[in-house]
Amino acid sequence: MVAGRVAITQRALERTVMAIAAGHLRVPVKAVRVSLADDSGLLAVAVTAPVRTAPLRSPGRGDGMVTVVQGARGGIRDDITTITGRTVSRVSITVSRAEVVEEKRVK
Amino acid sequence: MSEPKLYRRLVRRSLHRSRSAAIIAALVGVILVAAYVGTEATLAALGRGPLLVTPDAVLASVENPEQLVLVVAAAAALVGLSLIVLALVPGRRGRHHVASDRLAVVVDDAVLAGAIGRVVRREAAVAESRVRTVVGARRATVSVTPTSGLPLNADALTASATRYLDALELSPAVRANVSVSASGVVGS
Amino acid sequence: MTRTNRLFNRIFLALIGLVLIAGAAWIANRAYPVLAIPALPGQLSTNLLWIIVAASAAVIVLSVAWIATRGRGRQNTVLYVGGEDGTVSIDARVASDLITEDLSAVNDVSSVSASAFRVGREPVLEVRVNTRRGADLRTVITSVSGSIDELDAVLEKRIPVVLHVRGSSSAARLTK
Repeated sequence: MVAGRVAITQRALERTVMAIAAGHLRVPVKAVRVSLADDSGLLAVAVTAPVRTAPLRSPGRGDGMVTVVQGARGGIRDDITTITGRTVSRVSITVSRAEVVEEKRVK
Repeated sequence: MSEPKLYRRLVRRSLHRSRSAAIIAALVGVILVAAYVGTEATLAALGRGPLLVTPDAVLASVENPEQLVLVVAAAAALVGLSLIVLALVPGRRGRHHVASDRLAVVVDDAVLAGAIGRVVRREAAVAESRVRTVVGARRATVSVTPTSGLPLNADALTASATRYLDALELSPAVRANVSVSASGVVGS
Repeated sequence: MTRTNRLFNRIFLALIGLVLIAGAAWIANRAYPVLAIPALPGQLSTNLLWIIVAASAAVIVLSVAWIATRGRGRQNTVLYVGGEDGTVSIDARVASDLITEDLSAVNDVSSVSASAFRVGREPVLEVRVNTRRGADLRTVITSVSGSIDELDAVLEKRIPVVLHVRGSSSAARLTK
């Protein structure tokens, strides 16, 4: 990795963060809303988006929603820093809807 | 707050009106009156002319009430009386509480009536239009119109409805009473 | 609304009513004297007028303040996990989406909606279920209870839930 500064407009940064968040939450980019703010020199990120999840009674559910979203938070934060070079102070996620989808297991 | 206590509070809130709406309506009236009184008093204190009536004139008209003032007073008394009635009447919201482990369950009386009606209809083997159910705070009254030639046993139907209600563990408890009308309908 | 709020509301309402009746009685007494009550001053001194102005202002301020305290804290966040490096909030809509899908096979249920409100600091989920005519209550309640048990696992937390079972919007109200 070469250290350096990347000049990005606010709008472009927002779109980048939206794409990153959409990837981690596995939802369409257009469903994601992002708001960026300065937090004592660092970048504070707020994401509002649906989350893709299995139906309530699915067998083998795996992790609960909070755990999954917490994991996404970490991934989003790392990706933002990696891709844009900005240091993130906090990533807050508000899950607005649930996209309930049957997970079809591929054998 | 412990969950049972919280649930009791939530159920109570769902079953009865809080009277907040009535108070807000009353307070709006109070605000308007206070605003007018304050305005007239300010004008009088500043030695200016009144908006409508001077405070002194108001006092005079109260001391020697004319027709108009008496009418207004009577109206005020009626409003006051209705407020007191609202304060005393329980204000049921047409719902009942059903016992359940995990949830605080509140059911509209219309739904309860439909469920009881269905139980009675099944057992009486008549069409839905022949059963009318009314659910009040503590009583469910079911009227069934039988088919001519196929008599029904009101006691047995009442027992079935009662069993159904008891299983629900309603609060306030509801007693069922099924009556079969004396005249029936020929076709089924 | 707390129990004390409700009692207070009713006492408050009764008091306003009594004040109105007392005022009306006073005026009636002046017209048809029954009790000997001293007359009101014929003229109001400037001091007294300003006191009245102050009192009116106080009444208005207190009334507006009371009205402003209404509003049941409809926050719509059913779960909130705070933190130094960011927070996670889950909206009530998520619960209704999950429960709606879970109950889609239950015929008696026609629609599901959910919202959250605060009691103290705790969020409470309110689930409203619209049912078809003649729905079996036990089935509906058991189904929703099952959905909520699963939701508890998804949210990794047991949230207090109020279930309100309603009829369809066109159902006639059969209440006394």
